[in-house]
Amino acid sequence: MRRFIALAALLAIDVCAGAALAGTYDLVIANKTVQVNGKAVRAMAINGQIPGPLLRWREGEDVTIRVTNRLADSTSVHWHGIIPPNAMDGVPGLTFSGIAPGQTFVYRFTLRQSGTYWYHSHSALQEQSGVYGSIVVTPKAKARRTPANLKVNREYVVLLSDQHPEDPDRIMRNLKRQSDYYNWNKQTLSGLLGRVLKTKNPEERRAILRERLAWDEMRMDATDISDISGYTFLMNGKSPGSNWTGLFKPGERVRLRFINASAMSFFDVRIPGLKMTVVQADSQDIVPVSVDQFRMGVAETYDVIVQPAAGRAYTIMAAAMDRSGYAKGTLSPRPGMTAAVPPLGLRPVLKMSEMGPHMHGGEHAGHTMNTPGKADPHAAHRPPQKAPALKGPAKADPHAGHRMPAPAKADPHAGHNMTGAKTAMPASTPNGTKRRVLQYADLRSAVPLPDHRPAGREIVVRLTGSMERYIWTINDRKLGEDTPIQLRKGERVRIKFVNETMMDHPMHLHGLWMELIGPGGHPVARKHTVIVRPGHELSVLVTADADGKWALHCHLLFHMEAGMMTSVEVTDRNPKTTGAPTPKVAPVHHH
Amino acid sequence: MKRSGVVRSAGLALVASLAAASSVPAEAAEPGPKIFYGVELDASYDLVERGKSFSWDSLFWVGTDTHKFLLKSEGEHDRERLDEAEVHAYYSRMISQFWDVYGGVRYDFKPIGTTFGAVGIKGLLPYRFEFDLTGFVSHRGRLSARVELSREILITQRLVVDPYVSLDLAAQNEFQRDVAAGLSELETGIKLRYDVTREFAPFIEFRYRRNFGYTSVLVRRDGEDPESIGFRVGIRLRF
Repeated sequence: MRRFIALAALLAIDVCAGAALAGTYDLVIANKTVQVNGKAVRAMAINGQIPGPLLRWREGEDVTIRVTNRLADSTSVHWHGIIPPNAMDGVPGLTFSGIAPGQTFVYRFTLRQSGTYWYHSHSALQEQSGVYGSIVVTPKAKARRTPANLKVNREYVVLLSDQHPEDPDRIMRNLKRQSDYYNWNKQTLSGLLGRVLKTKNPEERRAILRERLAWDEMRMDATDISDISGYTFLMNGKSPGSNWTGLFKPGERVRLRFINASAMSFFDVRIPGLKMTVVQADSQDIVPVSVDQFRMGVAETYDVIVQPAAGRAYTIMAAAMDRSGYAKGTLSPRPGMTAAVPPLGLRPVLKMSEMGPHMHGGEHAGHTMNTPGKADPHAAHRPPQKAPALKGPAKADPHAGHRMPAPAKADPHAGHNMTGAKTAMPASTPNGTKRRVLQYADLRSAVPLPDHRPAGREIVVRLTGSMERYIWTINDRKLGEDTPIQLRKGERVRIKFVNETMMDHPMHLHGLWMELIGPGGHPVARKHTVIVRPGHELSVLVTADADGKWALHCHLLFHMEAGMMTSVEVTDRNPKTTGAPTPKVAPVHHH
Repeated sequence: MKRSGVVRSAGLALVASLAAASSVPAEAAEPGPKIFYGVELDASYDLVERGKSFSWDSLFWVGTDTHKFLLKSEGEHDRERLDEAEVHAYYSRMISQFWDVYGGVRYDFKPIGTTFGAVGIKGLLPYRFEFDLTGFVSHRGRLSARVELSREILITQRLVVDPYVSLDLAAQNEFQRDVAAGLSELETGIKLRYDVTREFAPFIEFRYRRNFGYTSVLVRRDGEDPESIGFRVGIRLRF
């Protein structure tokens, strides 16, 4: 319509109409050739940038975003974590019909929230190609009287992503042809022999063999931590060699807004030499908690405050969960400085004895390290009733992982309690160090959550699929074969995710907050994305307070594309709880 | 004439599989189930036994997760003549996480042109054994079956041992194609391959083949050896 908006510059026009804030932003999505490991790769960029421009908005602002599609295919933009009117949510086929090539779609909504967010294409595999960026919404002026412990001297967005030299469609086809196409760390005969020969204890040897046979019997692979290898991991668009740098003056308090905008990669984040005070999770202020490390599922965000006292450089280390690589940057008093990069640590291997009770094939799950003799792989998996769950012994206790709480099925109320074992983020602790790793159990909203009604019913969402075929589903149904979840406006429900697969799934619900459940069954913290660990279950409370059809999906991009997506429909009608085979609806008992 | 029969049957199978694919309810968000394809070829050459023998085993598939069309071909070219050549065209449907059933036609060019109707089941057994069982009825009304079993063993990430066994069974005599009732042929062997990439892998192979019972008489009468041992070298392509 209006061609001049093709000017790729980010344009922000502030209009002061009375007290209302308003801003207009232009985003243009187009193909771009980028270099990945020295290879020219066709990518997609927003305003010529990967990541796209940082959008700085203000709470209360009426934003107008004109998104122009210069691609050959339909596109879309979804504002991850922001709850706009349903039609502005940007999910093709669900909330609108997508943005056709050459067209401009105008998003308009008022920001009723603040914090760290991000945006990305919700069409096909475009996010993997580069269509993502960060959003920071600053709180309203009156709310800006920041408590002293949240005051900072400066802040940076630290956006993590993964970039692949192959075309995403080709990656998908490779996975469909051979689902272990990208796994070059499978369990082998030579590896097995090596482990057996190294083990002196005949009982342990038998255990090793039994474990291998058990995986083979199930036709699964314990090394399937992430589906795709060959990634270059980026921090604010920069590879480790390019070393993104954030400057500080010694003694300053620095807020880092971490966003995991990668397509397929979880990260373990730490800054050797600095304690990190986590102050926000998924854009929601939490009671500050001081940690050494935290895990980021795809699409999660965490804000931390650090206070580097020394006039030296600090490495921000984001190790990919499968330890295939890392994204890194530097906090430094002067440009050009670097600090040591800590070792990546060992590649994790799934251990059957630590899998949750729900995995198909029957056994339990979790991540552990390759050589149980050295590390303390089980620490993170012990039922950590107390927050500092990672005070593991320096030496491994081979049986620690077996001490799992009773499977949730045995206790119908187990879902009320947030036992760490179900919700804790698995931590990869290296040899003997007592590193404090953030757990979901640590997350406590800084403000009281508004809805304390108990859930009226429970909706079971089973996370299902077949790695062998690279089919990923919810309740055994792909998107298109699924039965949308019906909620009545205003109702309070509990969603119980049951992960029947052997992979972590970062589940994202659009439009409605998911509340983690604390002791006593009370809601403790809001999340837009929750990690559900292999074979485990995780329950969240949801208030159906926003009308419309909202997407619910795994945020591993290739899982979503393979079918792991459904929707939640909030209407004024009473939900039809009969006739639909899924989702299963069960009554809830309250104490 | 027979050749055109094969083409016609293959065409029908393709139409059937595409029709089945399009009958899946279209999703509002995305334009229907996605279609993928793959090509697999193993070609090898005998190094010792009987001088020059070239054999191939190939598969082209196209379709959705649930519905696929398969086109298979395998055969052997021995001492400057075509010894064995089969073409199979199947519609295949996923029935569970690890199993597919299929049906369609097979055409043998050698020793005499024969058309078969076929149904089968293919999948992965516990402990990762690959299993394939096909039942055939020839245009002469004779029943036969083929069962194949194999298992990949990773020595290292790239060095892979692949032992296999394949049995041909016949319910009735079908002398026209040198087959007698009972176990007619056993083929077993072991491949050792090196995955340079997922797409390309050279391999060496030991292969033992034997005909049994009256089939071996028929084969011998046709100037073939009912028992053979081969040391082969080949390439495996996947794309």
